[in-house]
Amino acid sequence: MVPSAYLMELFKAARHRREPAQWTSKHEANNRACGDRVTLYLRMEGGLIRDAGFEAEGCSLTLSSAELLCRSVLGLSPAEASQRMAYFYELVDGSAIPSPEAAVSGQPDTSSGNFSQPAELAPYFEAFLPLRELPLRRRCATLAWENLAEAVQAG
Amino acid sequence: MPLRTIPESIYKDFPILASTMRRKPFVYLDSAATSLTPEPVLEAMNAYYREYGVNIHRGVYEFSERASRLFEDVRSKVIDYLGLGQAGSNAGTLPTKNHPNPRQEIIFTRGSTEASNLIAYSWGRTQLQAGDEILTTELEHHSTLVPWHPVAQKTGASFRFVPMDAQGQYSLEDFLGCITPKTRLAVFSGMSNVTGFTPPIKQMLAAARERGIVTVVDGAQLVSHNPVSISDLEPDFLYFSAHKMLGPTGVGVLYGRRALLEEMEPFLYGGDMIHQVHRDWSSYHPLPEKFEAGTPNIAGVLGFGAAIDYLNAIGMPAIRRHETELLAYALDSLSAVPEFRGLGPSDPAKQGGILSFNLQGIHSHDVGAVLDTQGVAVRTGVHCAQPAMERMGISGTVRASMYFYNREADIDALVLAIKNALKVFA
Repeated sequence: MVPSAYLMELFKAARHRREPAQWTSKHEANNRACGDRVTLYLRMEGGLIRDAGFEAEGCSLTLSSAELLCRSVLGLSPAEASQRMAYFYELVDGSAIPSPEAAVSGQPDTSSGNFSQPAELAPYFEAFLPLRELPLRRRCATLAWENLAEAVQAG
Repeated sequence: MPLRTIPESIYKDFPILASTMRRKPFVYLDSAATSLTPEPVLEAMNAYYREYGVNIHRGVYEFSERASRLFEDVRSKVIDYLGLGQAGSNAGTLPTKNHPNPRQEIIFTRGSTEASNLIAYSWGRTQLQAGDEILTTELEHHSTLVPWHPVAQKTGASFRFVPMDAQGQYSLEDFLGCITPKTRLAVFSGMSNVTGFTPPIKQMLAAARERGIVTVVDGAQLVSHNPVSISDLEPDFLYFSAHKMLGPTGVGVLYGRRALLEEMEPFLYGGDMIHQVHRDWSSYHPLPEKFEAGTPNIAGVLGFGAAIDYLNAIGMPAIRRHETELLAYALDSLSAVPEFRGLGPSDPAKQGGILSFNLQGIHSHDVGAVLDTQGVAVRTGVHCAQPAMERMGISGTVRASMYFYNREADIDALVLAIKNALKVFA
């Protein structure tokens, strides 16, 4: 698949590709099949994700997926972040196209450029839909989200 | 000027080459992973199932005798192909001084991986001991390296790795420099599946032989793309897979020196390999049946026989020459792409038809994905050789690998697709 404009925007303008100041959780995931790795940092404050960032070595799918994750969980509680994660997994694994509304019931985040409204969120998430036809590349896109699962589980 | 080594008539035998992938003409540059299968190989396998598909070595009826004879004929073809019989002999039946009974030295396996495991299990676990050194390289395919890990753990033997340069090359001197009085075993590939690099194995094998070091050659890429003569090289073990040389998957060959095979325990036990079976003990058939337990992949072996016939009709020297010319053409075409970073010798004299590379600033999977959309099939990633990637400090490569059925137009399509990938990720 040639990355769509939405994926390329995430890939080329990955502004969360950094170690955030005062992060409170750090998780690393490795794809042993190709050597790609993603480290995800979250800063939790008052029960909400206030900042997110990542460091990664990987392909455009790995990086754009990590960037989307960071942009889309800001301002959310761990439970709400889990909903976004479920939405993402449904997109790459499922058969029906899930409703973006299902994934954005959390607190709206006011900082610019972060996705909190369904309309903003949907096209970036849906850019990962072609992965349903490319099972060999699925793990590229889910690597960052494996970190989120661990972070959420750890509270 | 178009390359003329390979006759045009072969292309009708590979109808897949006229098909499309992602709605583009299919360009296959992944033969190092597995080769395409020509019609005569499919016909041989179909004919077996359709006309006389019965078991071998056991029936007392005509069809079983026919299947058994044709199956054993393939063993003779392998003997001839490997130069194990006397030169000019018909179907490898004339023995040579070093190989008085070549039939006993050719074992059919499920592939290179099983052959490698057979050696490690049946020879390594009983012959190696604490203090022994296994000499190998970081360039090896996992199927060649990994079976020796548990052997080392179990026996207390240790590894020594031949140093390589940044391009994954090493010399005879590098190899010799690693031999110590403790070296018992040397394991190496005759042609790297990562870079196509062909080390000086003839001299390496001679040096090891002089010092009484047992040698194992991974021939998966070497034997499928080059003329190889066991009588000339005289390794102790050499293995390869049918599916990389026009044959079906699930068939491979282990060559082993008879004296070593004789002293080894069987690897798999069961039917076909036994001589006598009693309630609480059994005895085994002589070679090669000792290592061929159970019903083999009969159709696969017969297909492999047709593959050997096909390769012989073209001639391995002609195949090697064609791939050399095609690789030179590819290196020349890609020299005009500034982002191209070749890995390996970048010299057709020192490598087979494998071109491993990266494009500056673009991950190999991304390149592969764009190539896929253009109908160009290549392999991306670590190529079952993680230590090689670690040694060279990269996460993976794009690997375009050729066979005699590739043409300059395939290289042109590759270069065009590479330029597209550069545009997408610019």
